[in-house]
Amino acid sequence: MNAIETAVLSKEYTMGWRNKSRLLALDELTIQVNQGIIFGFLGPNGAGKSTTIKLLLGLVTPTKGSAFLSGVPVHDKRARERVGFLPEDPSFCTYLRAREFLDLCGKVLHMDRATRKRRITETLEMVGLTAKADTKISEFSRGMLQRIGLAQALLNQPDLVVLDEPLNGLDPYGRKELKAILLNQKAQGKTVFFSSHILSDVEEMCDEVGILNRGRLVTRGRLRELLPAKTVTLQVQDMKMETMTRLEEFTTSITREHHHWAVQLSDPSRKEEATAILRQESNQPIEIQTRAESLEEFFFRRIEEDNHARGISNHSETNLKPAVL
Amino acid sequence: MNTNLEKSMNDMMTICKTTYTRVMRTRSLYVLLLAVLVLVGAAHLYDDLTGGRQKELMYDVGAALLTVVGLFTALVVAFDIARDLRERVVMTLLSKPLGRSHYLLGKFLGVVRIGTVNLLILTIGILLLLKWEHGVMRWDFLKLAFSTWGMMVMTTAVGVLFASFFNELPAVILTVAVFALGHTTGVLYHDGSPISSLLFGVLPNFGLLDFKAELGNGLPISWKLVTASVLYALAYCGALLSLANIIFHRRDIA
Repeated sequence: MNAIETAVLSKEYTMGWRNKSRLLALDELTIQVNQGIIFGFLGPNGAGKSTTIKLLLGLVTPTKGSAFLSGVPVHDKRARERVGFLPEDPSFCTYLRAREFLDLCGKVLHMDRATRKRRITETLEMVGLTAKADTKISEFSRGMLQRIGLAQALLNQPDLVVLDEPLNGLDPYGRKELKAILLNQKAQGKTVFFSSHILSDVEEMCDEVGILNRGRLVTRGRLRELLPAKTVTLQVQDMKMETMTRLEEFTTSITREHHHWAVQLSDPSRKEEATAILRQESNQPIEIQTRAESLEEFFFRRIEEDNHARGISNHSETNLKPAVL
Repeated sequence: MNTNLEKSMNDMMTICKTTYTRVMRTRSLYVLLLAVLVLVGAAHLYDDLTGGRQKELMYDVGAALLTVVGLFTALVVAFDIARDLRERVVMTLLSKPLGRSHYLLGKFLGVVRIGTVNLLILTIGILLLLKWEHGVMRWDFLKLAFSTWGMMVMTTAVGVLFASFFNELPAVILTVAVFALGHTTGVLYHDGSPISSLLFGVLPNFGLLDFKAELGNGLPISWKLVTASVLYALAYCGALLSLANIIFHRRDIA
């Protein structure tokens, strides 16, 4: 059974006076997330990541489509019994102390008194807030809010942890600790689904990623499968215009860098062919650099390709469109 | 916690207790209660001001204070739900297996609990004062307090309804407006125009719960009438909370 499953899940918000503007926040998202993996949900601002998460948690009603958590439809509150959630920029009951807030969460999660007491101590310890257990949440810093948010998300040892931008507001130590906690969740067979802008961390932790752009899923898959291709760059001292023209069909870019030309191949398997053309033109030495594409490069490439295919600018953030009257 | 009923009760009571804790930790309520107790405590001055009609005035002031405290307490719910939504606290709570109706009912019960405690403190204070000033215990005042409690419960339900789809300010303003209009509902009945008839059917009729005049003039008030009025208030609450529940279920928590 999949931890998360959606089928043509869509959400359109109506905005403004008389609901004349509409914002297509999510457009027919169909995705399955297996159990026991860390899934990174990526996308530029306004791509629909938070909307997807809210739809998965039943906080927002879909315009179209369906979603299931461990096979239970998300509109059924039982779907959330084994789910932990950390919202983006979390805000909690500021009038409560950390321990009281976790106790409230434990009660809503139907945990008995003894289990609550034990898990509150354990989770406070896990997120490094034991010393602040009796401090009011209103006195917490941003990083501490993120930590108490994580504690409430993990309180009932959920099978699925959904985190919206969990790395925001954390210092490098906090990020390191969070990553260790998430990897530990995976080691226990739990599923972690999180959105983030910090692609290096996603690349480090995730088994699979999905990239969302303007409400549409651009790509998804295992990181190993998405980023296997090596980028091959050939470096030469000089190059003629004719050579550039002949190389055009093999290349992603030809750029002048300091004292050499860098020819990045679009298809690494045609390295020999490109090298032969360069050798025909001159006998100068050719330096060959091979490097795997990073998730960041892959992300930008896929987003730009998608924008290009849809004929839209790379900079505008929303899918605002006038209502069909 | 095995049955759904047990879980539902647990969810509602958890939210109820949290709401109670939240309000009890704010200073404004204590300031209000203190102000009210000072007014009640200054009752011996009324004799000088009223030229012998001290007892009637004490009833009037006591009844008015109960109404004011009831109204202010009821407004807490409009503030509280709307603030939870604005600050997105509700997002964390509803991402757990907590039903939206349980959340709303829990908030309602929490505020009703606070209102009950407030009205109880005030009623006991006024009763003791009446006994001290006049040497007799006026149990009739309990009937008035009970009907004011019904009014407070109704106003709280109005607050829940508005807070389920408005921000803090409009929710509070509309609740106060309905509270004010609710005292004139009887006039609408006699007006006879279609709009008045519609408003008469929709607005709460606080006139049914208002026994100030009877008490002030020493007229008898039967427990039967008071109980019937409070039952009307509870039935009205049921309808409003059902409507609030439907609206809140359809609302996006974003």
